[in-house]
Amino acid sequence: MTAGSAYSAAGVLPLRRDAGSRYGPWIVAAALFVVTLALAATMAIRNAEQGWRTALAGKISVQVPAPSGTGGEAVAEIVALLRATPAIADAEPVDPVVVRSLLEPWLGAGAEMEALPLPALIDVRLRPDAGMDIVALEVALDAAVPGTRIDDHGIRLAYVLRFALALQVFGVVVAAIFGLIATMTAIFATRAGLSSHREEIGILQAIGAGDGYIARQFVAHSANFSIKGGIVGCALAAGALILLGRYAPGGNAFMVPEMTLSPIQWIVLACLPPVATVIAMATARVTAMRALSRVI
Amino acid sequence: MRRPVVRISTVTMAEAFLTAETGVVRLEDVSLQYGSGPEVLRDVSLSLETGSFHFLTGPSGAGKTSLLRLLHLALRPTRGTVRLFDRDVSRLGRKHRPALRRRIGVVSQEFGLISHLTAAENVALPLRIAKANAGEIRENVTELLRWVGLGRELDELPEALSEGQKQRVAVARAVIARPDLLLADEPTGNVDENAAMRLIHLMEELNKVGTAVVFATHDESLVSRFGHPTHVLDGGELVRADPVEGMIGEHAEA
Repeated sequence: MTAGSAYSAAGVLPLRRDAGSRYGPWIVAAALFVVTLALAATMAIRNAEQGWRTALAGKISVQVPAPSGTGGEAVAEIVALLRATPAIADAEPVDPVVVRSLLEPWLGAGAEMEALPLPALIDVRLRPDAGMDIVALEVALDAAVPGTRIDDHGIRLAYVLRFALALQVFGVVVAAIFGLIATMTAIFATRAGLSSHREEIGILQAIGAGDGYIARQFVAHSANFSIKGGIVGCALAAGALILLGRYAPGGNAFMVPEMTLSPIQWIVLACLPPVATVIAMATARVTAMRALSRVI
Repeated sequence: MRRPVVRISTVTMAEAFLTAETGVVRLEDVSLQYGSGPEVLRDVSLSLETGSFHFLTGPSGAGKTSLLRLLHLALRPTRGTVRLFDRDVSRLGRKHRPALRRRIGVVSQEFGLISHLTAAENVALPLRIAKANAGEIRENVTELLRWVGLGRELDELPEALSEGQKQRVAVARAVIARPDLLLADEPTGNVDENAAMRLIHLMEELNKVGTAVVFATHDESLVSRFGHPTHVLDGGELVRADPVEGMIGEHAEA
């Protein structure tokens, strides 16, 4: 130690030399790695959920069975009936080529789908808040062209949204648990420091150091290892997310929704190390002040 | 030899007003016991004036350390009143103690140096706690350590210092912020006779610039070489006080 540091604001208690302090940054790094990934997954699922809502909300599909549908007249009749319904904003037959392409993943590119009795599909967009009676509509369509069925996306969407919500709750819980682990690290480091440096603390108190002065030693120590661990953990998580992003199938992939993060969400993740540091500092202060207050 | 003129203001306006007192210490019928054990101090009454020098003597276990710990606010009396700087501190809350402790310097037999800090860093601690600026700290610490003869040991860790040097570092730390009261608990216990004499002379120099000194030792032969008021504790009672100028209170009048 040089004379130059003798009068600086450097820590009076040698907390960084404590055996437990060596592992503090790594525990925080591991915890922040998991917290970052969990929150990123939660946000990505939320983004996908909103995409699903936007894409499918207010839409239904109508299937006209093959024998009638292939002729085209039945489809035209159903489309006319749909367009005449006040609660329906628009009804458009789906190009048979598109219908066949939807089946391609199951049947293969070389399948002779022209020979299959595929139903005709009609995309229907409902008017918002029109109060559409799907059952009554299906009865009317079936009467016009027997076998015509309505596929209400809302029912399947509800299942998907419920699962997405469960995943988000799970992500938040995982993030909270590992955030708690990072916080506990500050508590254990502070308690260990208070115990192993009892003699030095007694000397400081004897020469007029208040609880706040002593607590600041632990606050500074917690800030030091939290910011280091937090940056390492978040950087590793960001690297993992970028790597995962390269292997992600993207928006055209079948059955897999596109899950990306907005710039604001990346900023939120980047704020995790300073937020974790502030929490660790507050935790260290409260822990130290409470422990010191028990001494006469 | 010029004494460093360090004085860091760590007192409030109200406390500054109180520093106009003449009695640094006033004990009124003070008794102390640890838990449910026997009383280690019994009905001790004592008054010490500002800028006075007192020896506190008596055999081991007489209660000297307990009395000094009371004065340093490390203990609370079981009965009686302890007044420091004209303020009743008998039941003082812990948040008010640090400010008062900064007006009191302490030197003990164990030195109480922080082992990983250099001599200069140890001496600088009271000023750092008082939030003095780095330049002021550097200047005063260097000057004071030179004054106590440790100009070359500024950057030495305590383990590299002799017992006498450690004691001088402890004294320098105790007086760096110019305390109003200096409590020395058996400070000569771990040093040879020459070092002990030098230490007392050093404290007399500090006393001349206004610091009241209470010097506790069981070595009555050492005490007899100086003409300062002497209080004798035995079995927790103040059994004798030599009536020398600078002491007031019932024992002085006895």
